[in-house]
Amino acid sequence: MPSKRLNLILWTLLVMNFAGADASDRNSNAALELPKKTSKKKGAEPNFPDPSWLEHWAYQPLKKVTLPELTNSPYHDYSQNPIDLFIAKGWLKRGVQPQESASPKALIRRLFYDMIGLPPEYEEVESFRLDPTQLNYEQLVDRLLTSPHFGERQARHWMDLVHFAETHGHDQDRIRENAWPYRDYLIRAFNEDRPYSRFIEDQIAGDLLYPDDPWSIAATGMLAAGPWDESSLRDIRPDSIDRLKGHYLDRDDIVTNVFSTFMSTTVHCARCHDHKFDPVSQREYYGLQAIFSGVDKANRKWDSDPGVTRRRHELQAKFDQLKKPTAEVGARYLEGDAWNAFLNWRRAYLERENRWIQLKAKEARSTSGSPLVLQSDGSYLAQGKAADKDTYIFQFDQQQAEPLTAVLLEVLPDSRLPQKGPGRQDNGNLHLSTFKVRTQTENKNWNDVEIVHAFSDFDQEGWTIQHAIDTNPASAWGIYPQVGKAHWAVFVFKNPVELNSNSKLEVQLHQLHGGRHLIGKLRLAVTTMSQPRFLEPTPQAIDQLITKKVESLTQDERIQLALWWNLKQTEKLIQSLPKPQAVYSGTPEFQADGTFTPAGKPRTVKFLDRGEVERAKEEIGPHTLSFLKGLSGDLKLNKAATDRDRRTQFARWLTQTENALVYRSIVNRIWQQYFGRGLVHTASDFGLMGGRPSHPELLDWLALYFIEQRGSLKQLHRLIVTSRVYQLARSQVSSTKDDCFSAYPARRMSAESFRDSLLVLSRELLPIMGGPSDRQFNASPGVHVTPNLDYQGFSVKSKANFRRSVYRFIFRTVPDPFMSSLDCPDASQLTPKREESISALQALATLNDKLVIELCQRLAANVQKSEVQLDRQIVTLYKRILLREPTSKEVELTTAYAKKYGLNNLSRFLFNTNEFMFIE
Amino acid sequence: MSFFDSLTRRQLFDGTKDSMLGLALTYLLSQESRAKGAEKVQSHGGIHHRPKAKKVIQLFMNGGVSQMDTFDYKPELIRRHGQKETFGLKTAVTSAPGALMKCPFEWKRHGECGRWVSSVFPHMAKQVDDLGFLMAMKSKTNVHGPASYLQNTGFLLPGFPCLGAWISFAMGTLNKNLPDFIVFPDQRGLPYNNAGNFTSGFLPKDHQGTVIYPDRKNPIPLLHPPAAVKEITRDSEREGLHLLNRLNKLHLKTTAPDSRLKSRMESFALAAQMQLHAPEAFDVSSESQATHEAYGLNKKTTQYFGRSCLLARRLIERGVRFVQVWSGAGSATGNWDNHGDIPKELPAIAGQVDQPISALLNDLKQRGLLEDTLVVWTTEFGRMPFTQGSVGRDHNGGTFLSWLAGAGIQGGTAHGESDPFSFKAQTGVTTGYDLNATILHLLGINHEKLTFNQGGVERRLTDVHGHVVHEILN
Repeated sequence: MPSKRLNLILWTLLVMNFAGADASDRNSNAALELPKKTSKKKGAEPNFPDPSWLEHWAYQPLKKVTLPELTNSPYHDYSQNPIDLFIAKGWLKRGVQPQESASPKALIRRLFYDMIGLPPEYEEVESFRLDPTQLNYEQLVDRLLTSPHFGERQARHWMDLVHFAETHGHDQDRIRENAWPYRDYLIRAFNEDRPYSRFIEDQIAGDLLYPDDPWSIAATGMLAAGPWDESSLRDIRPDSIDRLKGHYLDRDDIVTNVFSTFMSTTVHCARCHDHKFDPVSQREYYGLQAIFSGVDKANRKWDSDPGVTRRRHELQAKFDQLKKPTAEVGARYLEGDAWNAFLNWRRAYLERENRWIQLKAKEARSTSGSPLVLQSDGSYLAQGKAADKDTYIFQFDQQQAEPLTAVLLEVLPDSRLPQKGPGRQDNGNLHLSTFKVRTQTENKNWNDVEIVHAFSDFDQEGWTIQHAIDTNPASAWGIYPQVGKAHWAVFVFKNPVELNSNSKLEVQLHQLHGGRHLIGKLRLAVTTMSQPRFLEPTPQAIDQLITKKVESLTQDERIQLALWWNLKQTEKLIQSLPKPQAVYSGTPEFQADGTFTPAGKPRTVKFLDRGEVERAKEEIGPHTLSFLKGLSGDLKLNKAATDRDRRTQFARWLTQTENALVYRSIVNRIWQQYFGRGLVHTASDFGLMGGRPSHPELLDWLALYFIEQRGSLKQLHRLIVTSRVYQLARSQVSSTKDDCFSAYPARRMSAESFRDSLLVLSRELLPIMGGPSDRQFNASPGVHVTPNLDYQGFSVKSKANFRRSVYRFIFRTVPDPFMSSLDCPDASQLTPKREESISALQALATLNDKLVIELCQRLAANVQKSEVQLDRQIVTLYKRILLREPTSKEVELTTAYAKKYGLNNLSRFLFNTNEFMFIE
Repeated sequence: MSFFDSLTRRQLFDGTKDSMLGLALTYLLSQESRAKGAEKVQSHGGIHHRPKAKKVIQLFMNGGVSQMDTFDYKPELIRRHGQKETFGLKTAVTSAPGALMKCPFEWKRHGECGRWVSSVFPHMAKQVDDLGFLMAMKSKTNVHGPASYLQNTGFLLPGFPCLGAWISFAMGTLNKNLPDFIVFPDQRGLPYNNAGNFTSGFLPKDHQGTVIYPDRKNPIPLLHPPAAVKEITRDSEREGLHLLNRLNKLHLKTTAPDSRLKSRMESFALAAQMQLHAPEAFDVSSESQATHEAYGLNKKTTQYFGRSCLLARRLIERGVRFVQVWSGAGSATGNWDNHGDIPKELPAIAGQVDQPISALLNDLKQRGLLEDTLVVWTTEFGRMPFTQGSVGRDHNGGTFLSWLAGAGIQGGTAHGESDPFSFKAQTGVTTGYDLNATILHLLGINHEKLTFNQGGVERRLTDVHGHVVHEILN
């Protein structure tokens, strides 16, 4: 045998040639640009970098270029779109003959997949085919640019780039419940066409620069997109050397992400030594770490509604002020609306009916045997060992003059309870499954008292007071997270109940959720009010002031009253706001978790000799890269600078139009999306070892155009796809080596597009955007933090399968095998461009995956609904999947197959054809 | 049960057309190796030089094997037992240092080479004349996650391709009917970092480890359609693949030439072959009773790991390049992470692997497989000479050990030495980079030349480090 490479897995010329291109390009670079490395003594930094490195093309300012003149060439009519002029100039120079224009079908199909990642409908293709004018084409482009799917498609590219996933990724691969807002930010930003400079600012310092825009805050999810080492940063000893290593490595992840993404620079190569090929010194590298040393990857409080954010800020400010008021503040509430509102409340207070009668229980017991001990204030404290589940029973036999209309339950805090109660669960919570009342007359049968409705001061989300009066023992009333405070609930009878000398009343509190979700301290009362209500008790001193005549109040007393009342109102308003959400982001503020605590002020960053924490040298202050001609890397910050100064100054530095690298980088990325290859083919490395631009003038022209369009990505997309170059027919060979862009590079469909196409074409796509991600796996507790995930066993009928793939929950260390087989990248790595593989395992996946099978069944059913005849059904299938009618030969083959094995099996094989799988 | 039990390639392709599989192989053989800098696999089987090994079994002991309680004999530690010595450390990674603790097990010299082995490995002790030890390895970290990544991928951070992926990427397979790189996790679950330890990282996805739980109904995910789908039958698939092939051929005539189109057509033929042959490789019922007993399949403690070892041999026999077998999951206990109680926890986990590993070595040797198979036994770091709590030990990246056996290894050797307390590697210090460089070297690969361009950086398994450890090679 000539070689042992009898590879099971087939490979593509594309990738191999691409690798080959890398090599040759790099060599030519080396020959052209790399100076002989100056012999450098250890620590002889002044010699670094070699001055000639600073002459590298990427570090020079953007050059204004005039459009090529092609009047006397075959391309004289190419002036509609400047891209065409630059590219055609290259063809002329290199004697390359471009492909013809693509067929209308190929063009529309590629346009849809490239722009929104979804297939067109047959009718759309047909109507264009009948009138394939540039005008109609551009209208279609505009339609796609305004489609919400545009943002979804673009966001997925960006998520690859910044290695976004929703788990930590190390040995404790914990789920990040609040990472999804960053994905939603991306979709919104692309759909809104946020200017690119704003897009950058948002992701670096949105929390500081635009605190009133919740999506700018969510954007800082970019800093936290990567893995996080929970073991090192939370669980091991905080004074250990490994904790410190953890911080440096975590910042390395942030710095790598930021500089690869925005500046296409491999700064991370300078962690252990000066960069071997680029003018980034090791000292400079640690200056970059210092920019981010005030933030950590953590959950910060967040509201997705900007109105709520604003209101919360206002109310909190008011509350803080009322809490520590000055005389001046108090006086402010003694006039105008504020005072009138108080007077109105006072009137109602004085007229109130709030008669609740505390009854002495004849019997108070629990079914578990835990003693319920009477306290001096008439409440009962549950003592002894807390049972897993329990039921408390109280019996009353005191005679009442009037019939009873309701029962009041107060659950009360107590320092003897966990988190001060009022529950007995470790977190202070309780779950009241069923509140039951019954009566007995003359020792006869017990009769249930029907409760017509109930209300409470506060309900835990998903655990409302209604759950305590429904018939479902699995649902219950809870009070989390408002623990450590008193809460109450009123249960109103349908019919008033007499309690006389020979009758008894019994109240049962069933608490059957388990896990010691029991009431710790409670008090019961009854009322005879016809409209039962409960007003929370007012402190005695205040109550006395309220009952005094207003005219007789002194100024001080008025202030005291006004402050008390307004504080209470403000507190209520804060509580009535929607619960604060959280966003997992790069943030200086978050709630401490064990020894993982906010930095407070930025952490000290030191120069690490050889990158080793054990060899830490002097402290390094924040500064940025200094290799750009005409743009200093000095952020004018000292070592004491705040996190705010560090990140905002850096964001400003990054977004200046003088930062040529930032603008070259992004226009090249968008170019790469459409042509499979960037003008610089190493999209995240514009350094000396990266590729050279194939069309340097076009690159700068695009960057300047982009700046002129105020960083509008949509304008850039539009310009590219409306060029003639983009509309050329597919290449004759499978290669992205074509740096003349003389043809469209055909490509295999991405994992997401394949999955999404099936959803669209089977008419099963759920068009719901945003919100928490869809988990397409069953999770069960693992041996440690990371759960066990089962993708195979996950129900194919679950709704979680039917949204676009961009909403898929990506679990870093246990990825979905189906998506992996189609080259969905390892989400722990920055992926500026996906690999494209073809393998037997992939073939098995696209044939045997349960969702593929399910969707093919649904597609077949859908087609059979509209067409009765098999031959018509097959035509419909062809139109839908392959956007054309079948040939007679194809009809013959597919009919024979479908007759035997059904339309669903046929559609599965049609989805697996090369014609479907490749976009050309 | 395979839907393709009776399916053959000839049936697939009608017997009339040229063999699609043959085309695939021709196509493949004409390709350059996809590793940049790496020329194609030479006729001698290596890439940069003649190889000693063609296949690798790696046995990974998850949690950090206690070196001074297994193979690193330290009389000084025995003498100073109970004394306070913290080596200037304020704290270990999860605890405050206790007093020095000697190995609680008995020591004896074994084999002609006279290697010291503690009583926790009675079976492995009989193999020492075939093992080459790295006695003084060190890690950059004392935390499981990064340490496991470092040992498997050469990087502390997640997302870098592991050894198996690099080997698959560089060398491909010797048997087209099975994946190149197979992983058997512990029965209790995945190791620290989960499948992150088997990832292909930025390398193409077809090089990631295929995770096999041999006791599950469908050990290879997606090999077959779900059994519940009634309308998919052996016939529907056979004729469906035939149809697909015909349709793809018609399409070839209408489109521009593109080798990927053919590659995809071949991939379906290979998929069918895999369905046919893979299940047999994972079936140990044809193995003799003696073999079952030797590997400990008849005993509860050794059953699971033993079966994984036996399957590793079956796969190696069938030409799989790289098989990784894990002992211990990424849990707090039940693995090699013996924080609490060395005298109790270590013999428990050691007892699960000792006999199967010994049996594996014997079996490979008897079948002549050890001639071209390399066996590597390793872990992510070592443990401290002082106690954690009363009789546990905390993590120690300062020194730990690994051994290699088989193709190219000089048995009975040991390279390097830790200090008298087994606190730090002292002489002949090696690293995970060196271990991986040595493994690649034996496979005929120069670790400095096996690279892949990731986002502008030429990446290597050994980062910018690594030296081949010639001292244990023959």
